[in-house]
Amino acid sequence: MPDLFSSLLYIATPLPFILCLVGVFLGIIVGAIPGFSGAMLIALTIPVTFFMENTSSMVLLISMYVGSVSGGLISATLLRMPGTPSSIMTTMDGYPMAQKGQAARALGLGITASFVGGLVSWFFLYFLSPVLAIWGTKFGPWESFSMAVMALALIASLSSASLLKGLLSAAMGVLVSLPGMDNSTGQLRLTFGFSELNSGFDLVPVLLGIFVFSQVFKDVSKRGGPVQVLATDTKSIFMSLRDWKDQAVNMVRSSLIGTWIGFLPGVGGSVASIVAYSVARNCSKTPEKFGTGFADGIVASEASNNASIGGALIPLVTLGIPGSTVDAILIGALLLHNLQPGPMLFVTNPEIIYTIIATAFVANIVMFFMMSGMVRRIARLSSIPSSLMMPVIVLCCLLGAISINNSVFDVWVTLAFGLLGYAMNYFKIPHGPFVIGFILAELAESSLRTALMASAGSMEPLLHRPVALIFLTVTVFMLYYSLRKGRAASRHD
Amino acid sequence: MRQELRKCWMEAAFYAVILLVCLAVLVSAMGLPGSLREPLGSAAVPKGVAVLIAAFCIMLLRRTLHDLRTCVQSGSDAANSAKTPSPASNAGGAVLKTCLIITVYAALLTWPIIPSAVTTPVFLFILIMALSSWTWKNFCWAIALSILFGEGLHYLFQNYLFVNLP
Repeated sequence: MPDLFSSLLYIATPLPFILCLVGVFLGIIVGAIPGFSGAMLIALTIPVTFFMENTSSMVLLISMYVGSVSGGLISATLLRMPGTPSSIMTTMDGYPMAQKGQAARALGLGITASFVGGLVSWFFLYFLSPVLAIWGTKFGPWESFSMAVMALALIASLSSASLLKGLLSAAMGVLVSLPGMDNSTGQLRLTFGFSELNSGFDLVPVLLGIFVFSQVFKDVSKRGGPVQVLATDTKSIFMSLRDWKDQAVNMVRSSLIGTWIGFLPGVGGSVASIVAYSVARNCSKTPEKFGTGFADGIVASEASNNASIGGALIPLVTLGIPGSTVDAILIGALLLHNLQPGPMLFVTNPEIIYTIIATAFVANIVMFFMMSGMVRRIARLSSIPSSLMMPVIVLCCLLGAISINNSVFDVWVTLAFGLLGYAMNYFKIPHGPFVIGFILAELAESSLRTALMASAGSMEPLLHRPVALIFLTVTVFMLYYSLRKGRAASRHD
Repeated sequence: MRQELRKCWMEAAFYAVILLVCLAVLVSAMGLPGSLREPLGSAAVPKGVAVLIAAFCIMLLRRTLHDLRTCVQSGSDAANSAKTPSPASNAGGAVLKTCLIITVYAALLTWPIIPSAVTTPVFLFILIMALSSWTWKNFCWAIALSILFGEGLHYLFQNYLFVNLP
């Protein structure tokens, strides 16, 4: 306790506090611009921190991390363009709500959910890190595989009026994730002679194409329509008592999911928001309202993606294992400062551990007040004519795509997926399952193959793992339910 | 009605293209060697997914062709609506124009005959002008934004994010 308290007092001193403010602000800005990412900002800042104290550098980097995950909400809500991959699910309900003239309410819900998600995961980070580390080891490949299949089936079956189109979209996403080197055997597959495809399609160009470019093309095709000035009344920014009452369970549940998924190595905030969104939809009495500007969708997505930060920091501080790309960069920053991440850091440099934990808490509070204060100005962004804003966004995306692998090939990838996204939009094939399939495919395939290797090709262990069995039962039930609902609707027509 | 018909044809073509992609994936996956060390191997998942997509596409294609038949049967007086230009074709033109500008810029980045420090602001200027109606005000905005963001972003990515721009 005294260590955390002294770290909190340290952050309250002028320089660390200014660093926290600057970090959160830059993170929000970078998170809000499609094509830029928190990982990019943190990687860029690491050389600057070389000349700083160890603790100050951690304050700056963790603040940027918190800000960047939260900032993705802005463009996801106002432009239907997720600023960061973890805001994909926010586009589903945030944008429709903003289109209904409730942009400030959508942003307010997202900010509050992000804040609560951050606090819940911080609680786990501080109090339950050792216990969670033990639980994490029991979540094996069968559970990961069935969780991925469940999330995919839930989103595909509920994201559009047509189950078939939802499933097609999800399967196409899985297919796009397959080219490149097979991690299990080292075999190259589906590269069709393109050496650029040896490492497969990167998430960012695909995401920029499917979500951002397709939206740009859609906006271009609607050009000439009236510029929509979104409502920005201050009353709706803060959640009402009724909202709190309605969202309390959803918010806590999504935060717990986010913390847990963030904690699993290699599974980031994007998967957390997908799973939390699908669970919220599954538990809702009105699942048909999801995707139409429903508050539950925004809350589930934002609470879970911010909660994943605290979750991902748990293996980082307890075991020295990165939970996401940004965490891997943070480990790099620790090494640069001659600090060896892992359990021994508690003994050798406890001040670093407690600075990380304290910053996650303070940065979350700073993010809440900073974003709440900026909501009205942020919402006005949507009144800028699209003919001026879209070209700048396109340029950011194109240069951002090149920066991922320093390859112009990714520009072509972005453009190709932009056209695919536009066509999917035109034929009413939902985008959500595509991107979710793309993200979850690797996890599902590698988990299944690891599990099959361990069981010598037998699927039988799946029946002896209760968690995996529950996930698969939910999957089968949801597919059956959607099919029955679809048939009933077609009979009714 | 004519527009509906056009959309149905386009949708059918879309599913046909996906079917062709699935076929290419299947052929490519067939050529992959099996793995001795693990049960599934590299080819199993691509083959399974390609077959699944093909099955979905065939079902959707069947449904689209059924819609197409309904459209044709009930669209005897569709010629009247064809006299006025459809908004869909204007929209398609705007998308095509934007796509073409982006393609030319991407081509100039891939085969750099002009330095990107020049092409980037010019690309931004052309794209802004293509998407706005021609007024002096828009022209000034286009110049200002293309210099500010075109050069600014180019400088940022090349000098601070160490991106190899030609």
